[in-house]
Amino acid sequence: MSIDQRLRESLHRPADSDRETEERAWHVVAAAAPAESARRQRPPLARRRLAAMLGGAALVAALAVSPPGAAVNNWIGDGLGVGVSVRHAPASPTLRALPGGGELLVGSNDAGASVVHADGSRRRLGPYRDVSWSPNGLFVAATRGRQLLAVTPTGEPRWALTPSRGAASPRWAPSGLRIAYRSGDTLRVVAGDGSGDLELMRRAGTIAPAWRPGSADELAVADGRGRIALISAVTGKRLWRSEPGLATAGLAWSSDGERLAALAPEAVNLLDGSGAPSGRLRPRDPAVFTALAYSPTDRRLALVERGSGGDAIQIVSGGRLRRIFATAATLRDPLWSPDGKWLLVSSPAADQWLFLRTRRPHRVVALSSVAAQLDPGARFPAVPRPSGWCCAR
Amino acid sequence: MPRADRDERRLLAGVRAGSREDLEQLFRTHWWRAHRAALLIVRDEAAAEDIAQEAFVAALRALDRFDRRRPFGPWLHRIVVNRAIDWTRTRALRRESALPAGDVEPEWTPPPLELSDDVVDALGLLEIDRRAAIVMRYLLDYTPGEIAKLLDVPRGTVNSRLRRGLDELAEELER
Repeated sequence: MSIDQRLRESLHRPADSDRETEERAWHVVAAAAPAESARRQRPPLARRRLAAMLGGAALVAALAVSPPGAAVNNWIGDGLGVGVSVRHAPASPTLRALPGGGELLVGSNDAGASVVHADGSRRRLGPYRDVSWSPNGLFVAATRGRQLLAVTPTGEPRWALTPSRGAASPRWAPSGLRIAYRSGDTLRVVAGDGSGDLELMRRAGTIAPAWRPGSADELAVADGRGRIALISAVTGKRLWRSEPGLATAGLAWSSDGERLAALAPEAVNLLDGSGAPSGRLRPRDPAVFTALAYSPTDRRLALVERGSGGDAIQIVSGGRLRRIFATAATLRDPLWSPDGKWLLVSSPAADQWLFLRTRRPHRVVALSSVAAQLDPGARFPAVPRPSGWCCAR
Repeated sequence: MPRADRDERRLLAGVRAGSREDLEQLFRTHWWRAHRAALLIVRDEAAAEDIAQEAFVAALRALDRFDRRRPFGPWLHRIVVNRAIDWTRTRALRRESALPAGDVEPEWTPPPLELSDDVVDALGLLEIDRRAAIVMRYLLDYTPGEIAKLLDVPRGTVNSRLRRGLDELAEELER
């Protein structure tokens, strides 16, 4: 058989999961379509505001009949008790105000980084990646090419370093004094003014380090085998180290610095401040956990769970795991508002950001056409990724 | 005009008018190839699903700008393939920044694809532009001239990518 024939035969061979994947995708596309139809029918100028409201209503209707809508029902029945009234704001074609206030830092492959202000206005920072707020939102740590930079919220660089192995995953310490970042397979730390760049750990893995709130600049970092170490950035000493395999996909500290959540697809491993295991959360079989985020105000932990039917948001609080939202689409980048009342997740396939109010009164605020709004003019705009939400002022 | 073209124009008109039935038929007609193309290029099942879904929604969003005399498939495939290439390059950059200088052992290796066989696995070893060109030629059935138009590159470049890609594939399969 010729190479041409072998290629055609192999590339066209059906897979067992094709049908399941197609059904999942159809739900997402069908749910996104009504809002698009409403948006395309451009009425006279005087009626556009009404049309925008109707477009929003159409999306809410889509949510109500599609898996995301089913999830909203789950919110009522599974999470918070039957009878709780959930109020939906219309899905908005433009962001008029950030639910929860504060300022949202957004990264995009094409458009670079942006800041979305509380009133919904946006400022482009520049062609930066891997953006992260300083603790009070006065600066942004970012990467550009191989550089590590500190820039102002208006995008002006204050200083830049060019580590020989490049820079990735910069994270500003809660004290404001230091920035940790990955460079090659090492973890490095530099003072907030760009001075004193030094190596803190070799053979660090690819997960972003997590600073421990309330500590004297201690940070948790996982190596390539998923073994977590807590390191003092002041002395360079390792304070403790866990067994391997605990953190292969993410790390997050509770706001009091007393609990560390380590994400591996098959479980979330909970450790106390001394590194001792304090619990393990498992997804429903055959689901996996894909992302996590601790509330900035308490010990509520948000998890994204991916199952065969789609993604769900689970909130862990007081030892209970509660599903508050589910959809056939992929969800990612969970991010809490500074006041801990709202959880933002992005849905790349539906080109939406979903703001989920996690306290009463419970609400879902959907922002549609995010890619075009935050990445105007791009040839193939991708849904921008929320990277940080700052600050309780 | 061929009947298939007439049917697709009718479907597109129905989608514009808000017909869910026409939307579903359009989706079912084009989903499999769009998703398979993304999967063969990015070699990551979750990412491929995202890319194909996003491309479909993006194509629906831009229906107003779509030239109604042209077929829908190439337009959708153009979005899918370009996004899949972008995604693969971005991931490669991230992996590169995570690797020590001179070290070729990555921490992360992609899980095997469900449709893995010797041809699909060998395809995954090709440089991304060659892989995309072969997927467009042998899965999506575009001519080199059509691929050149869809990717905005010279036809000679496409021919070169196909020739070198096929040579490397044949070499890999003979091992």
